Amino acid sequence: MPGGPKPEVIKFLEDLGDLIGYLFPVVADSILKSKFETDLEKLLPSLTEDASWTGAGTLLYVPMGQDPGTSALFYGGIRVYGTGSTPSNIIGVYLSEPQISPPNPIWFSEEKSFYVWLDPKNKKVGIIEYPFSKIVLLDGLAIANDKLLAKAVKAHDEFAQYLNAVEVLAIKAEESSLKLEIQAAHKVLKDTAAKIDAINAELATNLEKERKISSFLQKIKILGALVSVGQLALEFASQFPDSEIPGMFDGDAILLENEINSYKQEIGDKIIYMKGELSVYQKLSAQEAIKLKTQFSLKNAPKQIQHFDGYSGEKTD
Amino acid sequence: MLSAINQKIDIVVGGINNIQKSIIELNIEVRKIPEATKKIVLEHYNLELTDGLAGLLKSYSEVRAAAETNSDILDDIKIVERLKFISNETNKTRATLSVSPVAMTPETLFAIPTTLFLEIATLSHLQFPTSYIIQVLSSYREWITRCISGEIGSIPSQRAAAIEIHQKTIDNYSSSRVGQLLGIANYPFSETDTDRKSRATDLCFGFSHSVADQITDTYDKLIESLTFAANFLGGTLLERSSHFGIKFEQSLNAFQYSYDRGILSMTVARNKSLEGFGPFKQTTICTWKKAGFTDDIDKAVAYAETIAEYQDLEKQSQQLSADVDLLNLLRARIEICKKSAQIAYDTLAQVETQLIALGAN
Repeated sequence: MPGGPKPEVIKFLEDLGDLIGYLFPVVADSILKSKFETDLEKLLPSLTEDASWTGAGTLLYVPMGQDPGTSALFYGGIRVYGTGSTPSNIIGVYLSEPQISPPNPIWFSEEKSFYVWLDPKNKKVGIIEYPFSKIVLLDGLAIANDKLLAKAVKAHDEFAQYLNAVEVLAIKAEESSLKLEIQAAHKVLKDTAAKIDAINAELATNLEKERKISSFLQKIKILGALVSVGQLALEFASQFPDSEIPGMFDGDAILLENEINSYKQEIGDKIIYMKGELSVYQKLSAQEAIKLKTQFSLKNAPKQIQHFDGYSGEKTD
Repeated sequence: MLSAINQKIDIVVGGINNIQKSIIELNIEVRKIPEATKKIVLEHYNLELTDGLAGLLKSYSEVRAAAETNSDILDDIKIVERLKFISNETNKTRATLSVSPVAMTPETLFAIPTTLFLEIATLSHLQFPTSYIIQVLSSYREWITRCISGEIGSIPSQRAAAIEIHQKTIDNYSSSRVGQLLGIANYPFSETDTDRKSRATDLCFGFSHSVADQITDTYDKLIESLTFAANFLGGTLLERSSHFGIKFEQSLNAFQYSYDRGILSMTVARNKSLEGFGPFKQTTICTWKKAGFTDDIDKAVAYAETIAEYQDLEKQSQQLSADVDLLNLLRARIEICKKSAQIAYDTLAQVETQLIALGAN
């Protein structure tokens, strides 16, 4: 975003010899000087060719290290950052793409590291040292991250559209799953309804038996009356020993009474069975209610829902 | 007295019925609560992320646009203050997100580069010390590395979990009747079988080699019933084909299953001589779907529906229909994980480049 370095950022020298002499002035640096010179000589042909094509400046970076104890310098090789109008722009382009760089030298020193600026148009060689090297680097870093940010925003927007498509799939999957659960729930209800129908049918049969028994009881009353009449007749007949009156009503009444008792027993059993069935349903309902209450409690459901007690049962006697 | 008891039982049973219905519905709702809560939490963080970040991006783009015409404004105290605000807020967003429950989701990972480049751009404009920028970049490196580390909740573990569910679901079908009829099975592959292995990783798995159309088990009970139905119509069952397929969905960049609930298609050759049109003639008269049935086909279907195996297949078919939707969602999620992992690796490479340029080791 900001323009290139201010003119004073770059220290211009006459030629490469001056540059080397400026960078490595003392005898102690002769090994480093030699390494730098060799590396630069290897690079120069290709750099000159590139520069002649583009006419733009070339930026090199030389990372250096310094032993904090002995102040000895460590040379990290020459990195070619590329060509462009200004050092910052070149750094901006270089850092906006992943690069394979050798590691920095031991005890890397920001203060001792520097950039070399080759300007073919003006036939000048420049050096950018600390603190200007830091300014140029941060300007370049800002340019690089601005470029990367634009790409990232675009990618994020595209991803948001992709997520919308996935959300549609998620809703579809949830609906399908719910549909299955509802189908299963309906099946349970259908099975329960079938059980209820069976109980009702059994009850209807028992009611029919009760109706028959009532009818029998009516007959028994009539028969009882007839028996009384018969007894009177017997008593009456006893006064007439020569007469024969059959006592058939006594035997029939006993048979009927037995049958009635048997029916009563059967109905009683059925009622006990049905009460048992009801009790099972009530217990199941209470158990489900407890489970639900636990679930509600765990999920922090609203209080009024937590007060749900399930079906407590209705007394049937 | 029994009549009274009967009436009471009717009332009680009705009550139990209603309660049972309510319990089932409530149970379904209760089971949805954890998922719904999780979704709300994720949406909260995503909103915080996207809305907050969108606002900061807007502010930053305004500063940038102004600086395009006059770069000197970057030295203006008010603009510097604005950049500081954007930088601080971006820093807060990162701090919140990197320790949030959504720290390692694919959705967050897609937003990390935006946050990262915005934060570094503002710090660079503000000429922060390089040592601090190195720390910030290192924090991002740590965060992104965690996302792709394989630890629980990371992108690879989410991807592996989705693949496992997918594989298991398909495996279950390979041993079920409906799965066998439709030829659903995972590709078996060995360690050396690179071709099939690559197909599996490309999410093409889900089919056995045999295609449903090629199954010719004539003693199959279902086939018997369909053959009977065909004969009932005065024809012969000629072929059947599956309605289960897979196609590449461009918008999702993933293969998706398709299944239209029809288990089989039934092609019947109708004996036209019965209608006075001469000898036997082949005509496709229906597919095994309910829609558009003629009366005759309704009769055939009604017959087939009485066969126990058909009823069982219908049930399995309903389950498959729901599972296909789940499988398709899993496939899309797997693709998201793949995409976000790629984003993570690209961003890491970018971070490494910038770290070395700043002097980090």
